[in-house]
Amino acid sequence: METERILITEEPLDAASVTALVKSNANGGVVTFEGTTRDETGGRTVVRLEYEAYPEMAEKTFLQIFDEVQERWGITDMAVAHRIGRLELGEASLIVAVAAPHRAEAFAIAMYVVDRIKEIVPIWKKEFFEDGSVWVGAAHTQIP
Amino acid sequence: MAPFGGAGYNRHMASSDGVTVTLRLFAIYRERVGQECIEVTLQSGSTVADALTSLGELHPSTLPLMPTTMVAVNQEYTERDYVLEPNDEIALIPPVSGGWAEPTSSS
Repeated sequence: METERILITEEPLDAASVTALVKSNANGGVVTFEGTTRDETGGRTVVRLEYEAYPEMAEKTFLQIFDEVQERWGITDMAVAHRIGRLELGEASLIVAVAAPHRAEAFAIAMYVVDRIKEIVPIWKKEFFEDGSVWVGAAHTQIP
Repeated sequence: MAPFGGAGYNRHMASSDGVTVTLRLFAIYRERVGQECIEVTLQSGSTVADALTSLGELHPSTLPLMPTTMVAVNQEYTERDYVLEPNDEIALIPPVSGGWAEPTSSS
């Protein structure tokens, strides 16, 4: 089932186990993307992060992205894992694994999936600084 | 599209029975309201925009967030002129997270 290839969890992510979900002998290329929390944004030092999901809809939108890939590339060997809750610096927040017969499409699909996750999957990130915090994407509303 | 409002005629057409819906609040909305969800009862024929207006009246601190917010009803992205059905679940979706695809100077 496709839903077995979607994981939203408060536990640390393991890229190898996500990659294992998509490997097969029919595929010549596997691309695994690992997004990690970084220590700086816009010149401010980040000390930790929190992610919050709308879990039911997040799963639906991950499935929608899988469907888009299948329609465009005819590829179904994909898996995603997203961490939520509190993360320390350097920890993985997102793993995307894609397998395809050839490397070019595996790279292209992985890029597409990560971009689409940012656009439509309802998961929010809060960055904590030494002197405050901000919901990413919400800062431009310029409210005190 | 107007950020909210725009369905005022419903107030004249509405029958006496209302429509009760749940608003799910995430991230900055949850923090501003202090709750994960609230229930509102609106006049029949009300739209998503009317529900947002109602939220703004109850919690004015959410008003500045609304222009950049997307809305989902029952876990599907929806326009604000959608006419609500009883027990619909409206989710307010402020811009979603990002950052991992941007170049970084620190790694």
